[in-house]
Amino acid sequence: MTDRELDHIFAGEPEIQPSSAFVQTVMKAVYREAQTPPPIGFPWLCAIPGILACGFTLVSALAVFFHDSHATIAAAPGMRLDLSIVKSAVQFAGGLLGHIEVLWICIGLVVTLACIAFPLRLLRGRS
Amino acid sequence: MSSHEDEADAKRVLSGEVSCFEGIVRRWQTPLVNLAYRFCRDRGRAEELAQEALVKAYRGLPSWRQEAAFSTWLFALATNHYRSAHRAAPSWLVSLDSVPELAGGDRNTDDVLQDRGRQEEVRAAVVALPAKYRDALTLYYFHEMDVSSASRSLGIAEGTLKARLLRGRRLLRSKMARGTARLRVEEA
Repeated sequence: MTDRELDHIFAGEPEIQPSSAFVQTVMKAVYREAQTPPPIGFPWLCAIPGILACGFTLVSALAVFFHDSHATIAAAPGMRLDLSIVKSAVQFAGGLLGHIEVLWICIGLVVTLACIAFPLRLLRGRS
Repeated sequence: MSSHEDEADAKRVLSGEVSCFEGIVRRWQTPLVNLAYRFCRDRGRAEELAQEALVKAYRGLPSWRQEAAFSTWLFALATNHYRSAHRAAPSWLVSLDSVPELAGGDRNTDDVLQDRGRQEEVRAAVVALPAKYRDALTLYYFHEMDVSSASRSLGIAEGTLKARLLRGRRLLRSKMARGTARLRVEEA
C-alpha cells in the first residue's frame, strides 16, 4: 500500500454531523459552568511571608551546618568524606538542637506571629 | 469560517454575554465532533468528547492569547482533551493485532482498497497504533494533509510530525503486508 493510497483512504473519510440537540446540550453545560462560582485561588500573597521565613530558616540551618562541617574537616587535615563525617554531623545537629532549642522556639514563635499578623494586615488594607 | 466572528463572539463572552458562546459552538461543532470521532471511532463518545472540549474552551477562553488564531487555539485544546481522554479510557484501546487483517477475504489488494468496509478497517487500524503515530496521522489527515496546522494542533515541530507520519505509515503498511501474506498462504 502506497502513501497515495493511504492519503486517498484518509482524505475520503465521510464527515459525520452532530446530533440536532448538540448545541443545546453544550450551551446547557456552558450556562451551568457560568453559574458556578470560580474556584478560590491559593492566597499566594498571604503565604509569601511564611514561605520566605521557611526558606530563610532552611538556608540558615544549612549554612550553620556546612560551616561547622567545614571547620571539622579543616581541623583534621587528610580526613575524607566517610561515615565518620556523617556521624559527626549527626552529633553536631543533636548538640545544636540541645544547646539552642530555646532560641529556635523563640524564632519559631516570632515567625509564626509574623505569618499571622502580616496577612491579616494585608487583608485589612484591602477591605 | 470567519475568524472575525470568533473573535467578536469571544470578546462578548468574556464581557459576560454567555449566550454569544452559542455562535462559537455552532461554527465549530462539526469539526470538533469529527476530530473526536477520528480518535475514538464511536459517534456517541465523539459527541461527548466534543461537548467536554467546548466547555473546556469556554472555561479557558480568558487564556486565549489573540496572537494565535482562534481555530488554532481551539484545535490544540480539543486535541489535548481527546488525547488525555483516550489515555484515561483504556477500554478504547485496541491492540494492533486485534484489528481485523486488512487485506483478507477472497479479493486482491486493489479491490480491497476500493471497498468501503475495508477502508473503514484501515482507518480503524490507526486507532490501534501507538499514541504518537496515531495522533500524527489523525491530525495530519484531519487538517487535510497540512503539516503546519497539524503540528500546531499537536504542539510539536513540523520535522517531528513528518518523522512520526513516516513511521506511522510504515507501521500501518507492515500490518497490511502481514494480512496480504496470510491471504497468499491461504490461497496456495
